[in-house]
Amino acid sequence: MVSFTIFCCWCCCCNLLLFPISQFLLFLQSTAVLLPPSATDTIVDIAVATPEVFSTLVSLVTEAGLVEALSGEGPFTVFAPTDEAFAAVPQETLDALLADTDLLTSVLLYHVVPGNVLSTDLSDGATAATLEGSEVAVTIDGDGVFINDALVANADILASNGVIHIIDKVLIPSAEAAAPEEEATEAPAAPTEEEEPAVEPGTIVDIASGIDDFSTLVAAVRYATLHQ
Amino acid sequence: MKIFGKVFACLAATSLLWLPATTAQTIVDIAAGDEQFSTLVAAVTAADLGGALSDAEASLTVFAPTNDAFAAVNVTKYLLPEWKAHLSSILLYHVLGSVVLSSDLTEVGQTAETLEGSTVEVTSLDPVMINQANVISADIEADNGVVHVIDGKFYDILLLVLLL
Repeated sequence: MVSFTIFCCWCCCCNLLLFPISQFLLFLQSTAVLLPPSATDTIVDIAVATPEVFSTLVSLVTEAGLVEALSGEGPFTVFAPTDEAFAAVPQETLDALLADTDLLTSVLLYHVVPGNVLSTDLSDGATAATLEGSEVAVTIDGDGVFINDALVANADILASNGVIHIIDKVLIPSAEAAAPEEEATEAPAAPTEEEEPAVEPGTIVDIASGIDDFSTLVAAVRYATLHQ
Repeated sequence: MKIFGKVFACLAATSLLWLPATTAQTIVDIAAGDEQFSTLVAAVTAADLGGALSDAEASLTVFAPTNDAFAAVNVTKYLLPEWKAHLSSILLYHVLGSVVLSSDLTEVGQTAETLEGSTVEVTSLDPVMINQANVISADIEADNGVVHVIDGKFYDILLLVLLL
């Protein structure tokens, strides 16, 4: 479009030339390798383009100011709760999230894992560190693939800067998991037993009262910003 | 005896070199035999799609980007193992599940579903363009389908024009 304007300025008197030039420009704009949406649309683009599924998620991500970070280079793996998943969250909890941007950011970043994690990379019992700082647990059984207690409804939606897995519940980080020193001391001794409580969903009130400093969160946000 | 052995070995080697070229040439053979497709071949190898594209029973159409065409994409990123699924989806976006010859293209706006799942569109007939790519050489027949070469060298001219 820019070049078209340039041409227009150059030959504003030669209207007859405009049509061949526009065809010629079609030539010029060729990028040769055919790119599917998965190579051109970011995670945010895909979520915005599917308002019937992700309108709540998109509005919350916008509210938290994470649009730019999640449109960045990545790669990110996003566990994206549907509107129905958000509808199951009590209204007062949503209000509390909207009233506290830090808390909202923390909850949203709990849905983001750095790297491209595909369904084929997941195994039963695995954990993945989120940008929020604590981990999510993967369970694979006869009923499907679960992230904490959320069922993966649709996996491996590729975006230019990562991958989206649609989940049917909102993931809530627990307060204990946000304390890094606890993980450092307990994890080597009995990793599986000690990590169990970390993935049990706490209420928003638990988190709000349990986290008195947001150093982990700040680190996570900084990570997200750095990796734009 | 020694010289006979050598001559025989030479003959055998020559026939081995020639036979595949004349009897069985899959899409992968065509790409591997042409230096301008070395990036494509590297990408297909990294995405583990070589097997699917050399399947003799298949009937495919491949839009094969030249090395120049790949210059517009950050190939080094996609060759990393963690981008394998993305690389695979980009490559499969260049493959149709049936044979489509240039003579099958009748109008601008025709679409075809790729093996990636989304569609490509004919955006120009003269010259033939698929999405934003120029078809610079069409209807190269292989045993398991057909290859159309796509290129984007005009993209460089655009940059030149913009710079001037």
